[in-house]
This record gives sequence, structure tokens and C-alpha cells, in this order.
Amino acid sequence: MNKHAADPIPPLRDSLERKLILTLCAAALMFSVVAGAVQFSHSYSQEVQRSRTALDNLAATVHSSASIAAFVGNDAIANDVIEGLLRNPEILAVNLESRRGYRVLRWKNPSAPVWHNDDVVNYPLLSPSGAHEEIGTLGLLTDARLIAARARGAAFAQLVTLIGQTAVIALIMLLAFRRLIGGPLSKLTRQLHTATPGSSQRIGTDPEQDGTEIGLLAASLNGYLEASEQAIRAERELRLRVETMESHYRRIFESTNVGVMVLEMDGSLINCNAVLRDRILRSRLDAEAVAAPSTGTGDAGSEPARRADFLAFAFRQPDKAWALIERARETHRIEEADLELRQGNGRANWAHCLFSIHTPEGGGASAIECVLYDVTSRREREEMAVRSAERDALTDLINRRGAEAYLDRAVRDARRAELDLTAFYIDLDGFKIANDTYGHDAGDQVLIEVARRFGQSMRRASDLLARIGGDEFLIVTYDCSKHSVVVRELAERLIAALAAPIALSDGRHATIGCSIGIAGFPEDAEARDELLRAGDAAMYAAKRGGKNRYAYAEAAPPTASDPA
Amino acid sequence: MRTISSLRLFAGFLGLVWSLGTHADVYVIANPGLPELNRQQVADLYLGRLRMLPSGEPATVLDQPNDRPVREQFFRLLLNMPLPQVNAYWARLTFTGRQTAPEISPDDGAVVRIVSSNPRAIGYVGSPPPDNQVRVILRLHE
Repeated sequence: MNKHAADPIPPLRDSLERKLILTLCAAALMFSVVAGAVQFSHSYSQEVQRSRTALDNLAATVHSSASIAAFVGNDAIANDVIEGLLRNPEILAVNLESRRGYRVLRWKNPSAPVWHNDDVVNYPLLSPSGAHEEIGTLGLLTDARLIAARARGAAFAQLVTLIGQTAVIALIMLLAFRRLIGGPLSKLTRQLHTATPGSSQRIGTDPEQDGTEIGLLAASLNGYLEASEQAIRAERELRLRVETMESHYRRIFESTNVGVMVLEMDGSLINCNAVLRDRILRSRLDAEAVAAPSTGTGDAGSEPARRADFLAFAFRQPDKAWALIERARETHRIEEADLELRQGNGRANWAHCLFSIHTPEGGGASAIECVLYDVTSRREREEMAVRSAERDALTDLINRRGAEAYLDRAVRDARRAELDLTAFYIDLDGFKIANDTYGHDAGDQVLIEVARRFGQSMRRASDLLARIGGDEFLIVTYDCSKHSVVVRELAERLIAALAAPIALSDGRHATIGCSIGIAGFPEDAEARDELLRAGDAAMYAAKRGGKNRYAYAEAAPPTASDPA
Repeated sequence: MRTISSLRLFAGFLGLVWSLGTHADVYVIANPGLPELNRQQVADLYLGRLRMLPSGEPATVLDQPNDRPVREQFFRLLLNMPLPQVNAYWARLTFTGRQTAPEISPDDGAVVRIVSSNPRAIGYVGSPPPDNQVRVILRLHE
């Protein structure tokens, strides 16, 4: 649960409802003021007009009697008319007069007879005989103050009604807003606020909101919630898969018998697996030492294992490792060699190391990748061969005895490990002639040069190169079959190595070649001597085939130079 | 149908001709002892506006019954007032005003007789009066 969802809705500083109320009130107030002013003035003048109309009607009503009274000069009728008129509260006095001098003036309140000409309304009296002759005047003194007060009262009543109506309408609008918009919107907001993206929560609306904007909004939001839930679920599944995959790779990385390490280009350790740490290095490397920050000194031989000097920490001769790394960087290929490890507990420890430089595709820092596997037992065999058999004094190669001892162990190991061995039985062509022609010293020089050239042509240092006779050499490669391309290439390389004439110390040149017999274990032989015999036989086959070529042992097809 | 309506039209025409022929002028007559009176004075006397003669004596104003055609003719020619209006006028005056309406004489003969015998009397008749007994002070032409 994210923190946001757990929060209550913060108090609204400015809710829509409040804004609406304020707007409505302001509008209603403004409307009331403006419309009220207009309405008041209109009502007032209308009321005054109405009063005047009423007076006109009154005068019209009494006109007939009044004109008779004025026409005839009849007091009784005149009094009747005047009394009737004075009953009207708006009339203060009545003046009835004729052209012939007849006049009656009467006051409603005789104690305050004030005659304002402005407030008098005069109506002409026409002759009752039907002749269109004006025979007199009916004058009505109106109570202007009363009329004004009444008009004000009526206008004020209208104003109150208007304001009341406005207020009621505003209230109805407010209630309608609350019912139709404010309430549902607030509910929606609350729900949305508590909805957690990615959860199965959805926003519910009342059925009556279906088809309204709020209903649509809720539906759209639900769509987004749905999409976010799906996206998060998909991401979770993907992460799970990645984690599973990573754990697989990690298990491989940790459980393989091969040591793996990744280094920065300056040689400091980034990561290594447990095999490397525990079995190959047999070190007391602890996480603290590995994680210790680099001090950046160039002292390659110092203890303990510093991050920046991991190669120096791991290998007895870190220069060789660096040389391999340098080559790998130049060739962009994997470079391999057997290197002696530093942690040996008194024993010699050898690892076959494959170095490569990894540069991330998207750019970024390159890293050194190194795969190591333990070749200590093989190295021990070689050491043993070197120790037990004397070396050939002339060429510094292993002699026949050493070679036989090596082969014994190699055959034994290969049988146990079910691996192939291939023996190259090599006899030089034209050596005897050179020896006879140029002398024994020249023959020795030829042998030394041949040993050097063969050494350069070797596949790897761990393979055996020995001189087993006067001009006979033996090469044994481990873990590659007789018919492999590697073997054929090596044979061709060896023949090519002797193609160039050998320069002698006295300035002359000796030209020799070699014939090679190739025999494989276990294909051609079950034991050491058998293997050597098979190689020897194949070598003679090559000689018979015309020299300076190679031939496979009898199990192989008889065509010597074209084994494939 | 057409014959009937044509006959009706003809009868109406005959009636009109007869009425034009029989409606004669109205003569306003007074006792020979009375002074001259103009048309306005006669009108005022008949509307009650004048109650005294110019001599200062009260006048006796004679009217005829409502159903006599000459009455309608008289008020129409003199005052241009229809009879209902004249009757309403006098009804109001007599009811509220303590004033008396003109005396009603039954016919032209009675009018001539009263006017000839009353030196303050004035009246009207639908036919020329005998010359020796009354004086025609106003002749209202149809």
C-alpha cells in the first residue's frame, strides 16, 4: 500500500460547492440590486399611473352627474357627487364649477385647506344635452404624499417578492448542483483518492449517473485503473521470470566446476564465483577483502588481495596474465594459456585460463572476463616427466625416456577420462645428407633450429614435444582426435615450419623436411608402445609416399596425404 | 320567396314615403303675453336650466306624453337628444335635485288650450296652431 492511498483527503481549501455558493450569492445580489432598482422605479411609476387611472375612472363615473349639477347649478346633485368623490382617500378636496359662475368647493378636512395647483387634476365637464360644449370643470385635489407612499409600498412589496424569488431559485440551483453534481463528484473524488493504482479496486457510481459526464468519467477512470492493474501485473510476471532466469544463471555460475571472474580493465575484481574463490584459488578471500576499496598502488606482489591487484593476487606471474589480456584486447579473441596460481599450499597449482575483453554493446566500460579450469594434475604429469626423464642436452627437449613416462600417464589419464590422444611421429628428411655434407656441428645446429621451429608451431604449451632419437621427434596432443582439423593443421604447420632453409653459422644453408606419422589413442593403439609403433609405421608410409608429408596410421585410409 | 322579399321591400318604401309626407315641422308656442324667447332660452327652459322667464316670473313648461311622436321629434330637433337620454336626465334631476320636470299635457289640443289660457306657459305642438290663441315663437324644421 502506498502512502498516498492511506492518507485522508486533505481538507478542500476551495470546494466547488463553496465557489458555486459564492458565485450564486454574488450573482443573485447583483441581480437583485440592478433588477430591484429597475423594478422599483417601474413599479413606482406604474403605481402612480394606476392611481391616476383610477382617478380618471372615478371622474368618468361621476361625469354625467357632475355635468348635470354644473349645467343646472343644482347643489343637491353637486353635493352628492362631491361626497362620493371625497370618500376616496386619495382625494383631499373637490372643486365643481360651471362657466356660468356656479361653483362648489369642498374639503375633506376643512381645518387644513391647502390648495396645491400641482396636485390638482382638472376634468372638463361637457353639456348633458349631447352638444359638444364644455360647460364647466371638475377639479380634484389629490393627496400626493399618500399616492407616493402607496406606490412606494407596492414597489417595495414587488421588490421583496423579486428578491425572495431570486433567493428561492438560487437555493434550488444549489440543491440541484449538490444532488446532481457536487455529491457524485465528491464521492468520485473520494474513491479515486483511495484507489491504489494496480489494485483491483474500481470506482462505483450510482445507476442514475449512467450516461452522464460523471458516469463517463468514472468509466474512463476505471479503464485507466484496469490498464494500470494489467500493466503492473504484467511487469510483476516479467520480473518473476527474469528473477527465475537470473537464479538459473547464478546457479550455473556458482555450481560449475569452472572458475569465472570478471575484472575491471585495471585488474581489480568485479565478481568471481565460488569455485574460483574456494577451489581454484583455495584462498581465504573473504567478502571484506574483495569489497575493500582500491588503494591504487602499483605494487603487484603485496598482500593481501587488493581489489586493484587481483591478477597479482591470483597468479604467481601476473605479467603473463597481463600479456594475454593485452593480446586479447588487440585480437578481439579469446587468448588462453596455462598460468600458475599463487595459492598452492606448497603444491604447484596450474589453471588453464581463457581471457577475453567484453565491451558492452551500448558502450560503457569494458571488462576482462576470465574462465579458469584446474589443470594441476596435467601440469604435475608434465613436471614429473621433466623431473624423471632427463632432458635432451642438445635441444633442451624431453628425451625418449621422459616422453615414454609422459605417454604412460597420458594414456592412463586419457583412458580414465575417455579422451583422445594423438601422437605425431616425426622423422627428418635429408638430415643424414646434411650431416654428412656440412659436418656434425651443422647437424647439431639443424636439430636445435628444428626444435625451435616445432616449439613455435605447437598448439599449446601443455602438449608434449620430445626428441626421441637422432633425428626423430614426438609430439603428443591431448584431448583432440586423430582426424580433427586441429591435428591436420598442426601436421601441415610442422611441415611448413621446415620449408625455409636453415641458416648455418658458416653462412651456408641446409634444406631439410620431415615425414610425419599420425597415430591416435584409442583408435590405433591401446598402450604406449603400440601407439609409438603405429606412429612409426605411419611415418614410414609417409616416407614411402614421397617424403615431406604426413600419413595416418593403418586404421586410417591408405591415401596418406589426403586423410579426409 | 323572391316575390315575398320584393313585396316587403316595396311596402317598406311606401311606408318611408308616407312618413316623410306626414312628419311635419314642430312649432314651439307661447302665450301671446310672453316676451320673445330665443332657441337657447327655450332649450334651457326644457332642460331645467332656466326656471324663470326673463320677466322674473316662474315659467310653466309643457311637455307631451312619451308615446307621442312629436315629443321625440321635438327633443331631437331642439337638443339633438334621444328620448331615453332626456328621460334619464330628468329622472336624475327630479330624484336627487328637488326639481320638477315639465308638466305633461295629453295632446296638441290640450297644449294649445293651456298655453292660450296661462300667460307664463310655453309648449310645443306637431301641427300649425290656430293664429289667434297662441304665438309661435320657434319653428323647428324637419
